[in-house]
Amino acid sequence: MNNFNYERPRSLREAVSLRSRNAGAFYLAGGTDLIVQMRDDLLKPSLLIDLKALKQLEGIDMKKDVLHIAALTKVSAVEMDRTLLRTLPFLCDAAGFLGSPLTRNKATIGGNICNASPAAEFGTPLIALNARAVISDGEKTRVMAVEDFMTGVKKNALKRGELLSGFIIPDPKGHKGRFFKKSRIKLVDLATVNITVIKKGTEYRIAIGSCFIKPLRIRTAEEMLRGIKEPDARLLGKAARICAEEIKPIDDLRGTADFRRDIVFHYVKKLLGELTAKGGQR
Amino acid sequence: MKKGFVHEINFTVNGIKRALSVHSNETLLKVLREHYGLTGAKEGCGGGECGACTVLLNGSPVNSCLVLAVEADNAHILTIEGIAAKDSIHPIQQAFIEYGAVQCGFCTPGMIMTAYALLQKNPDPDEAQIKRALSGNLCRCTGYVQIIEAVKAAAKRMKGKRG
Ligand SMILES: Cc1cc2nc3c(=O)[nH]c(=O)nc-3n(C[C@H](O)[C@H](O)[C@H](O)COP(=O)(O)OP(=O)(O)OC[C@H]3O[C@@H](n4cnc5c(N)ncnc54)[C@H](O)[C@@H]3O)c2cc1C
Ligand code: FES
Ligand code: FES
Repeated sequence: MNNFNYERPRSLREAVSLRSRNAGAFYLAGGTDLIVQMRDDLLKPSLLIDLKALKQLEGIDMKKDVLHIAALTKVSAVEMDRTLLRTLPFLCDAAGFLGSPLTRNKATIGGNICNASPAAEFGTPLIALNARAVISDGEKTRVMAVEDFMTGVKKNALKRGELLSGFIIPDPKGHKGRFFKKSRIKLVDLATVNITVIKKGTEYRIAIGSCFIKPLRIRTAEEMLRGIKEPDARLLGKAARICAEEIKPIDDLRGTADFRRDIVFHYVKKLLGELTAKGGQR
Repeated sequence: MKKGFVHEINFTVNGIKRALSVHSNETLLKVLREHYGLTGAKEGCGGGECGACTVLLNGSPVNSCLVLAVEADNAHILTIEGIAAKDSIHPIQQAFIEYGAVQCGFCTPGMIMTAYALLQKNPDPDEAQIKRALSGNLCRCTGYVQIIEAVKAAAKRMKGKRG
């Protein structure tokens, strides 16, 4: 690991200003992506701006039917949050599948999305929830869909100096959802495929990860199901088929493209079935 | 305070307040082992995969190989060397010995720190909870059964003590 400067700013403005003035600077959240890359000399920052002291960047809060999750909230805190376990348990499930408990005690939800791996565990639940990323330049904030915030492998929409301050989930009540992760070993491995499906009334949302340069919504399949209260097995199969066709997976060490299409077909069908069958609460 | 890449940190290690100059690129694991001689925490993978380096950072078990020493400024650190009362060993350590949960011993300090944190939070975990809590601590020797039995036994004894 190379040597670098280290700062722990006390204000958002100071953090942003440090980043703007230093081309080789990186924000440090939990460091579970960053430090691994630095250890392997894949990344040689000149400065790490540790966001730890910015307590306003941590916490989960429901205000007037809008859910706020701050960027530096630990993955383990998302996994065990009482409000979330009640309203959006599938988001807690996704958290519980990220790395090991030891990783989750350090890793943050914001770091996961900023790092923008196609396999990012929070990618599919957040885009299926129509979550929005709140971006700060130290003074003003701007907001964009998480789906647009992740722009490609390890790429996000932040401009120089900006940081991610958190996520908003509008109208979080009334979502039934399922999160699913397929990996080579049961725990502590990146996803070969991850999937979130949501049913809200008769609106359906399907998000698939690890099958393109970023997590994807499959809107053609969603539209096909829209308005139907209890789609039958044939229709669910058709929707799942569309998903398997629309993704653009690659062959890699975690699985072949064909394997990924098979997993997507079978599990989208199964998960949607669980949501629509009577008793498929959650 | 800092001078170039060297930073002054203040933190508490096993209950003792410490001040130290560290380089920005030193990990907490390295400082604990090489500066304080606390060699219980081990470097297995060095990348967050194995849990051999587990210590408690402000009460939560983390991989100290992925914590920068500068990040530990103002933090409370607890290592395997700090869990026992003076002149004795901790009930989890005792149970690990009795149940044959230690073979080569490389994973043991990490396992025990994770188990310690679990039992602090949840004094009466079921088997599934124990397995889940320990899922980031790998062992190449025991096959895990003895480890899980040892944690169960320790939980029982510690509960008995608390009365
Ligand atoms: C053993 C191990 C297992 C893992 N398993 C998984 C897994 O199963 N699933 C998964 O998705 N990931 C996994 N990861 C990857 C990683 O833990 C997660 O992506 C984690 O959520 C990253 O968060 P962090 O806070 O540690 O990010 P950091 O490493 O601190 O940051 C990651 C990147 O985002 C930037 N950044 C962070 N926060 C902000 C912010 N608020 N504003 C702007 N930029 C920011 C940083 O500059 C850096 O470039 C694993 C990692 C390890 C070491
Ligand atoms: S040495 Fe830290 S997790 Fe393996
Ligand atoms: S006892 Fe050898 S690795 Fe666990």
